[in-house]
Amino acid sequence: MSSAARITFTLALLALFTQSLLAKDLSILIIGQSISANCNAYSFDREPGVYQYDLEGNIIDARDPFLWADCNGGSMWMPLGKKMIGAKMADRVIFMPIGVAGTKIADWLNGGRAHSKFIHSMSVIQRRKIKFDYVFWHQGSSDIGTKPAKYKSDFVKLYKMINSTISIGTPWIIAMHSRCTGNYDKKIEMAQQELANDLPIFYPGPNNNSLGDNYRFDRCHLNKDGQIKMAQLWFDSIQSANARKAEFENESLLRIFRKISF
Amino acid sequence: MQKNSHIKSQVPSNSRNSINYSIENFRAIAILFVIFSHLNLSTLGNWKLLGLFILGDATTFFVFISGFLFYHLSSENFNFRSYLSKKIKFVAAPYFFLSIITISTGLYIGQNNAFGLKPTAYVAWSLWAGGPINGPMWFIPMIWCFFLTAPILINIAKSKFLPAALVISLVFSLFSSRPLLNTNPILSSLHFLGFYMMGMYFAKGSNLCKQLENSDAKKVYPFMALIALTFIAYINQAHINTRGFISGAFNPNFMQIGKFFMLIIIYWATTRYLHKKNDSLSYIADISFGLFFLHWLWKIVANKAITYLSINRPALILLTEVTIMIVGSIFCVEIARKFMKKRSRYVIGC
Repeated sequence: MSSAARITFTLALLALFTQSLLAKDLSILIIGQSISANCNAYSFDREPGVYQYDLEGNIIDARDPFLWADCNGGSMWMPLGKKMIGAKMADRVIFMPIGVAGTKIADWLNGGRAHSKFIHSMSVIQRRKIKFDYVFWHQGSSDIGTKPAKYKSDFVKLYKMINSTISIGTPWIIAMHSRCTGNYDKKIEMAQQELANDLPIFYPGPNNNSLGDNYRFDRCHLNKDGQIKMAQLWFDSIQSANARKAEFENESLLRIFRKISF
Repeated sequence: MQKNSHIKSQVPSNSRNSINYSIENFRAIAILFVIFSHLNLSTLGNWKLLGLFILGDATTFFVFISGFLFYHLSSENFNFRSYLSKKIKFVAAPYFFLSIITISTGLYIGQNNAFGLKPTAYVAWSLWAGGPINGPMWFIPMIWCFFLTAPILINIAKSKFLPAALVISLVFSLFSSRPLLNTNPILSSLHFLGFYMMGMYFAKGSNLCKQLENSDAKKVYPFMALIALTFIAYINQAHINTRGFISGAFNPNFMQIGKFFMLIIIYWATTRYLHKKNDSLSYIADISFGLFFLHWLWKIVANKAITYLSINRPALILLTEVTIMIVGSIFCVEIARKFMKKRSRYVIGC
């Protein structure tokens, strides 16, 4: 190898190393029911920069269906990742959607049918020391008819269970979702809105109920247009949550007080 | 929220007593508004927005009363050192005492982690901001901003610039919001400054205030109509997430605009119909500081009781909350007074 080629090779290696050091990753844990778990119509293919955690916690390319998801259909996470990369929010977006179709919040708690998946995913997260930048909550239509107070208290129980595992202080973005096959529960939507305004952890997410049947293929789950629309709503919610978090950090002077480190 | 005994001893004339009683009764109404504003209003379902609009931001009334009493009691022979000394004894001392309980609780449940703070930093931040465990405690660091700037405020109040200062600060109060989670007392005091100025302006007894005090009911009707119109505007903005001080600056705050009109009506009603001693309201006003400090802790008890007893009916939930918050707070006040006598003011503020 000539000296020029050696220098070029070294510089290329250095550039790759620097890029990987400076690359900004955003990891997102998604919990919820079918709509969050690849039970939608259209399966999106790979996108540059969009990744997923596999069942062992390794980062691999993402495509629908996600490995952790419950169904074999499409998601809104692929178009969301593409938007986030396009907006230079991150160099790599890594999703881990662990939702289970048809689950109530109570199903995620001790004794519920999603609890074993929850425990398994948390053990992988702990073992691989995965840190998340956001937790997305996209659930609710299975809880149509549940008392809002119970919905909120079950949610807090689940939050505490997760919070003891993943990095404390991770912002949660909570979608409004309480509509399926013509049934709509306004009280659950209000409960979600109330939960979503509890700073500094919880932030309001997109309103899935606002999507009409033209965005759904079975009057519940999303068609391709619905998935793209929902991805846009999630994207807007992330930006809004970031702005709100920044405003809170600035107003509360927490940055200054965090410098007290004893 | 200064002690009523001060007012009576300093201003003996009948007209002054009349104003004192109306303000005392107003103070009792204000603390009831504050307590009711902390009820679980989401149980009201479709009426929630109306409940929030009427009861929310009730602190505004307290700020107005604070400004009123400050000018009323301090406009003559103002001594800053003695003024601050009283505030340290009767406002700061109970604040620090109750902060020991709330901050310890916050540390115990790991709230410092949620804010990304080490325990020492959490203690310092909680004392600065009021601490989110006891919701209403943010009021104390905020009102201290007014205490510390008292010499400036009294000079403005006595000067010919008061009306101009009032208009500017009030417009800002109506077109701004509190900081998110009330965690910055300086920004909070800037937001509420207009109502503090308004209190001083009313205490100064301008012609405008006298006209209001002497108005008949017909002249107050337009303010009721304005409240209704403001409520419609408030509903139309209800989908917008709660604004903070930065995002809310120079945006209309319809809840505060509604409070402004309500304040005028309540001031008029108390000077006209509640200007005599009312034993029940006097008692509530007398212990208002204690109710203010303690009702939030009893709200936590009420929430636990409601969950434990599986109470689901909205009316029953609200009734349980009101009963436990008021009865529990009064019980604590009476126990503290029985055992600590006058020293209870250093602990629970009354």
